[in-house]
Amino acid sequence: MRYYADTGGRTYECRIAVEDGETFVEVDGKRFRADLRRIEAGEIYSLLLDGRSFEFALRRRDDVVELSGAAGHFLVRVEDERTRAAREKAPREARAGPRTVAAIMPGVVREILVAPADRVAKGQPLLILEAMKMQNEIRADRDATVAAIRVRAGEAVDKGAPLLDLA
Amino acid sequence: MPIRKVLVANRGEIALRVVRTLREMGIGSVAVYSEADRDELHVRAADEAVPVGPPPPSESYLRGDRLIDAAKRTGCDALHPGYGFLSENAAFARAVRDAGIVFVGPSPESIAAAGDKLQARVTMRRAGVPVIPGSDAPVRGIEDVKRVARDTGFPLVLKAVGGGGGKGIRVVRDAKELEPSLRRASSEAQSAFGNAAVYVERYLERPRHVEFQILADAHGRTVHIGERECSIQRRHQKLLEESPSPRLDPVVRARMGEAAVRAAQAVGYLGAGTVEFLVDRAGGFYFLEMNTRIQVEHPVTEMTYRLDLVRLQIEVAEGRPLPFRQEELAPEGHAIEVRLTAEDPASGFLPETGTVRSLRLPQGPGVRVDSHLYEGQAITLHYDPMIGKVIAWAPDRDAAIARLRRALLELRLVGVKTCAPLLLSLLGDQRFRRGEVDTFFLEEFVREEGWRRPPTLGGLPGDLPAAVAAVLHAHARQGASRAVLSGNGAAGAPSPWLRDGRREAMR
Repeated sequence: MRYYADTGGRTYECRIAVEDGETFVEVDGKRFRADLRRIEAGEIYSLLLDGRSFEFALRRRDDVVELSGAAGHFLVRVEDERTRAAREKAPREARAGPRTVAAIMPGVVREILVAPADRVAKGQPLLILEAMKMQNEIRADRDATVAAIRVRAGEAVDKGAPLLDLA
Repeated sequence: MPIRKVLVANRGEIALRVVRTLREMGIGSVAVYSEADRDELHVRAADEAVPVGPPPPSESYLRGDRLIDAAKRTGCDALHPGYGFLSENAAFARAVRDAGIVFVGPSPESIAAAGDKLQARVTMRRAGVPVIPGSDAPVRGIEDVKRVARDTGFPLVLKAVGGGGGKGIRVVRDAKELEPSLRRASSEAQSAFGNAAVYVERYLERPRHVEFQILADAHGRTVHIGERECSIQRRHQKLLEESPSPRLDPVVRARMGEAAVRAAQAVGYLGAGTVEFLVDRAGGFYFLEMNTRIQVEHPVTEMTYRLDLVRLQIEVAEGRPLPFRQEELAPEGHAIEVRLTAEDPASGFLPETGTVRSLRLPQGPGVRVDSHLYEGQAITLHYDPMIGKVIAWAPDRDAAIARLRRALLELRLVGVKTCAPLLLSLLGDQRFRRGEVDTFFLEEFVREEGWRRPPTLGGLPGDLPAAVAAVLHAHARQGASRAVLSGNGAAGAPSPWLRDGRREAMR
């Protein structure tokens, strides 16, 4: 089975093969003998990769695996080849359709800088979200039109709460 | 008068820290907690615990009346304020004293004298402590500023009288900017602090931040317990502190220590405190401010001098004399502390929230971890993002750096991102290793972005093993192949992690 692992802006293409009871992972053409074992109920995993030892605290949420290891903290989105093929075949308009901008952290909406039907350019500030006494500009991730605003100034929002819709 | 029971008027790691010493001393401890903190470690560690209100600090940990009431109801004879919250609030210290409870710290008069920045300038200069050239009173109009500027030269800095913690500061680089800058500084000060008054100081280019720990008893003895180099800071928030300072001339060090003792004596100090100095590139040092509480970074002093500063605070508050004279105090080795914060340095230090999972804290020789983290803990925005401190001691600085790096590599924490990757990279930086740091170093280091690349481990890019582990985990969840698990998986029962993976998949 082939997998695609996206982390930190790069993609590792991995192929898993089992031979004589041993697992091999081919990463971008390079082959490793791999042994991953769960150690603790607290979700600690040990990975031996050609005998080199790595250890992670690991937790999965949907298709994203969160890992904490000696080299740092990683969010890895894992997709198998079937899922990726299906996603790439999905109608393009679905991806270009209205998209909700969500709060990246809990906070208080300080100021709304746009109005419905405004044309916004990629990178343009949409609203100010204050958290920990810091004001953070939430910006448009693409050129779009503001379809709806779903919060009011002064409103407290949780992480992931919808702020506004771009079309 | 012996203290029998102490109300710990704080939360987080410092509350836990104080409770630990109280237990070692056989003194009772009473924790306080907001509605958000019922499950916190400091509540579970203390002998007793009292709720003091809703999660926002203004309704709980800053409610002096509720804290004093809790102390009275539980029969405490003393109150330890920790750091932050009400620890440097003279009115609170006075209210505690008026309630017949010992405030573990200096008198309200000392707190007030050290807390008034302009008054402190005058007091310190009179005591022979160098202060940065500038005005000792709020400036009255542009002519006044021009007059002071003749003494300070340029660049100079306009500071809000009501400001602090690096807020309300405006640098002026030449005389032409003076008038518009004064206007802006005054109006900013008015809107930010409700007080338009500003004063003037010479601006020090790329200073270092070096502070001295002091300790004073009620019998007239004041000593300093060495320095801490705290130049690694961002927006005036320290991130790494060490002792001794890697680049401090021994003659300057000795003069600073003496000045720190005079500074403490000048405000009639009692207990543990810190005198902060800025050191310029010529080796000149200037009084910055005095912190009238235990500092976050106190463990580096404890490790190099083999002392328990919280115990000494309590003993001095009991009226006991300090158990040593200045000449008996000598540091040994080198200690470095890093502050672990739930902030993502890769996205502009955005505070992280979430639930702590799969936690493992560093251990091993020469490592101390002061942290209130636990698995299942909710990290919220109500309180400071600092989730712990990792401190390493070794015979010399290079060994201490290596040891602290080793300790940080042992940290496992899933649920929130932390600043650990930045800290690791900082500890590996050649300039840092040579001690070439100043208060601007960290901000520039963060902008350089080199630290964002995961380090190479075992000859592989740091994120490659993570990607492989994630893929193998996903593969096992699909139940694709029992043989993915090697080792005990060749025959017989599927391994526990594969089984769990399948169970998870069926949910």
